[in-house]
Formats: sequence, structure tokens, C-alpha cells
Amino acid sequence: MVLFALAACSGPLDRDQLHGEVEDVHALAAEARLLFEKDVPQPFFAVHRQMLADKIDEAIEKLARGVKDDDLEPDRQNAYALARALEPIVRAGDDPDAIVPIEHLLAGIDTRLSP
Amino acid sequence: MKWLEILLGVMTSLGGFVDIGELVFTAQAGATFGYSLLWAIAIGTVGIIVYSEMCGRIAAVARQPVFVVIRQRMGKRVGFVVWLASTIVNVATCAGEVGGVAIVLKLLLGLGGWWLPLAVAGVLIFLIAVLPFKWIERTFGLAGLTMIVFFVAFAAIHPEWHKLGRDMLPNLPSLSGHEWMLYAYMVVGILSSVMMPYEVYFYSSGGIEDGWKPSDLKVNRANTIVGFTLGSMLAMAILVLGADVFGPRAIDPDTVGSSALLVGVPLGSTGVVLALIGMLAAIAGAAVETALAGAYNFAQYFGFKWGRSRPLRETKRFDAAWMVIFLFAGIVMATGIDPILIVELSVMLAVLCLPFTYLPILLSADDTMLMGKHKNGPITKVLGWVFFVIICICSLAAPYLLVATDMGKY
Repeated sequence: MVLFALAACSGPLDRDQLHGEVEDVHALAAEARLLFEKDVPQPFFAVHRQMLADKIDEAIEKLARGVKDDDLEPDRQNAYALARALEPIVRAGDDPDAIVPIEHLLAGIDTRLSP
Repeated sequence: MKWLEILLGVMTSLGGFVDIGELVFTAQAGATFGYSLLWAIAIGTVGIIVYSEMCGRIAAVARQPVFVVIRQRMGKRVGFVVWLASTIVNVATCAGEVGGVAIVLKLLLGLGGWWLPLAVAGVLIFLIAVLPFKWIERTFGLAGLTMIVFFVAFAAIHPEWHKLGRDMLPNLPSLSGHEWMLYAYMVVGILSSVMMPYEVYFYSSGGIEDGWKPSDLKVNRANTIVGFTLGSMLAMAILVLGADVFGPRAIDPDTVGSSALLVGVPLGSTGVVLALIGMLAAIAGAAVETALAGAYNFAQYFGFKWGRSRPLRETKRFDAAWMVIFLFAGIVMATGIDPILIVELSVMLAVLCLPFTYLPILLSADDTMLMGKHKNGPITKVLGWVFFVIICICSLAAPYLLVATDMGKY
């Protein structure tokens, strides 16, 4: 059962999986912006920010796997570039405003891929 | 009855309702489907109350813990398979909880490296070795009450009470296509994590450790009703916070820090610190619960002496078992595996053990020879069978849903 599930997590992405990854990066961007805006303890801010950046890294790896359907390739490439741009902003943690345009662009891909 | 006597139920329920997996999974359920999964927590709560009351009653009247009951009812061979599967679940969950404690410490103090899970395992081994059982349940039961900060945050966001009341009853939201799969996955995930088998293993053995007798049946009832209702209300508060704080922002929380941020939005910096302290206590309690449950099952299945209320020299194999489980958990987590992934997988594996754990409890609690006048009444009997059917449906659906939703991802 677990092996089945793990096997489904490797290889090129289908439409649902690509949508899931874009949704994930979008959600991580939104969470990072919330974290930057709120008054939270410094150790929490530093550690949680790194965890979010690590999650974006994981999504980048998955987006790099390619897609099964050529029609999805432009969306994959856009999502990949946006995730790559987002990661250093979240890891550095000093510019919440830089996240907003990335979030909007991700939302556009998200909507287009919605089943 | 003194109020301290219900701390066994409080500790057991916090370990089931707000362990590391549930903290994240429940917030995710709220962020994805709003309040509409509250009913799954409500139904699961009734189920776990019914079954833990039964196994506590068996412990008080017949002095039999759950794994002795399983071996007697299912036979040695089937009993062995159940023991093996439940051991994998207990050890994996314990590893996830130890990893969770390490993450919360890191979020709280800003320090830590690969060695932190090993240090956590070492501290927990020390605490369990020096504390008598009564003090284990008091320490982790009372410390877990700091999770009440989630109630405060829940009140601070002014939830929609009419929607909350409506969604406590089973309902089907308007969803399309594949969303149904994800919804079903979350229903099964919530029901099975609320009814995780280690809760009844720990609770029934804890009742025997506390020396329960038939005259303690009221204590048993109070433990199950108060303890599990408290855990359930906390889980509901987290789900509502997930729906109202993360839902509108399109955030899909999948880290431990996200759950603390839920409290930080309405209560600020102090709220985050209190939430992390509460989470630390609850997750550490869950680690202790799963390690001891694993050791109880081992000793009870193979017929060794067991109990933390006995001196260490009398129960060497039992004590070695929980120490090995903690050490293994620390080593696994030091490799950097995601603890939430491990706990979510173990929840789905646990679903397969549920029927084999709960059927023997139901049969024994209904056995006149064993229980005499304390056997199940008509209401408990009906509820027991209804929940057994629900558990079986979850067991059959879980493998399919796990694969179809890519472990709840799509």
C-alpha cells in the first residue's frame, strides 16, 4: 500500500499532480507572507521560515520532473520559475512585499489547472 | 472521586487527538473543507468513548488489558499478526512524536541539529524510568492542558456558531469530482486517528497500573467522557482555526509551525509561545503513550511481567522494550525523515488493525462469564456494533483512498 503510494509520487507529473504542486507552492507563498506580516518570536520566525523554504525546495524538485502531457509544459515551466524565485525570498525573510506578485502569478496557473 | 484521577483519560486522549499528525492533519482538514469535517471528529469521539469505556471496564472487572483479550479471542496466530502490525504502528508513531518534540523545541528555542531527536528520546527515557505511573499520567496530563490556548484562539476569532452547530452533524458539502476522494480520505484519516488503537492499549493497561477495581467503574466512565471530550473539543478548535485563519488565505498547513501560527494570528507572539509549549507537552505525552503501548503489547502478548508501577528489576523485558522503542525512534528521526509523513502513514496502517483490536474488546465486554453484571448494556452494545461496522468500512476504504489521493495530496 505504502509502496503503491510512493511509486505514484515519482516520475513526470500528470495534470492533477501538477495542479497539486502549483497549489502547494501557492499555499507556501501565502503562509510565508502571513508569517512575515505577523508579530512572532524571533526563533520561531527563523526556523519556520527555513522549513517553508525547504518545502518550496521539495516542490521545485517535483516540478523539475517534467509533465506527461506536452500541453502542460508551459504551465510547469512558469510554476518552476516562480517557485525558484520564491525560495530565496522566503529563506532570507526580509521582503514580504516581494511575495505578493509571485502569489498572484501562481494563483493564475492554479486557476487554469483547476479540474 | 478526586479530579486528578481523570488525568489518565486526559493524557490518553491528548495523545490521540492532538499528537503531531493530528495537529497538522486537522488544521489541513479545516483549511481545505471549512467546518464540514467537524462531524467526523464528533462521531469518532463517541466511538473512542464507547470503546475505551469498555476496555477500562474489562480492566477494572476482569483485570485483563487489551492485548490479553486479543490473544484470548483471536487465538495465538491471528493475535501474533495483530501484535506485529500494532507494534509497527506504535513504533512508527512514537518515532514521529519524538521527531515532533524535536521540531517544536527547535521552533521554541531556535536551536538544535540532527542530535536533537536523540536527546529528546534520552530525556523521555529518563522521565519514564524515574517517575511512577501515577506521576507519568499527572505530568503529561496536566502539562497537556496548556493546549487550552487553542480554545482561547478559537474564541478570539469569533467562529460562525450556526455553521459550527450544523456541521457537527453528518453532512455532505457540495464538492466536485476528485474533491470527493480527498474528502473521503480526510474522513477516514480523522476517524482512524481519533480511534488509534494505541489509545485503548495504553488506557486499559493504565487502568490496571492504577489498580482499578469494579468499584472504580465511575472513575473509568469519568475518564473516558471528560478526557476524550476535552481532546475532541481541542481537535475541533484546531479544525475551526484552520478553516477561518488559513482557509480564506489559501494556506495548506503541512508543518508543525503552521499549527502554532494558527494561534499567532489572533493572539500574537505570546500566543505562539503558549501554543508551542502546549504542543510540546501534548506531543511528548503521545510519544510516551505510544512507547509504553508498544511495551505493554509486547509483554502482554508474550506473557512477561509488566507495569511501570512495579520496580524496574521485576519487569526487565517490559522496561527494555519501551527503552528500545524510544532509542529506535530517536535514531530514525536523527536521519532527518519527516515525522508528519511517518505518522500519517502509520495512521493509515493503523486503520487495518482497528477491527482486530476493537472486535475482541466488544466480545469480551459483552461476555457474561467474564463480566458478570458489568457486561455491556443494550445501548453500549448497539453503539459498539455500529462503530465496529464504521471501522470495517474505513479499513476497506483506506488503502484505495491512500493511493487514489496520493496520500491526501490531490
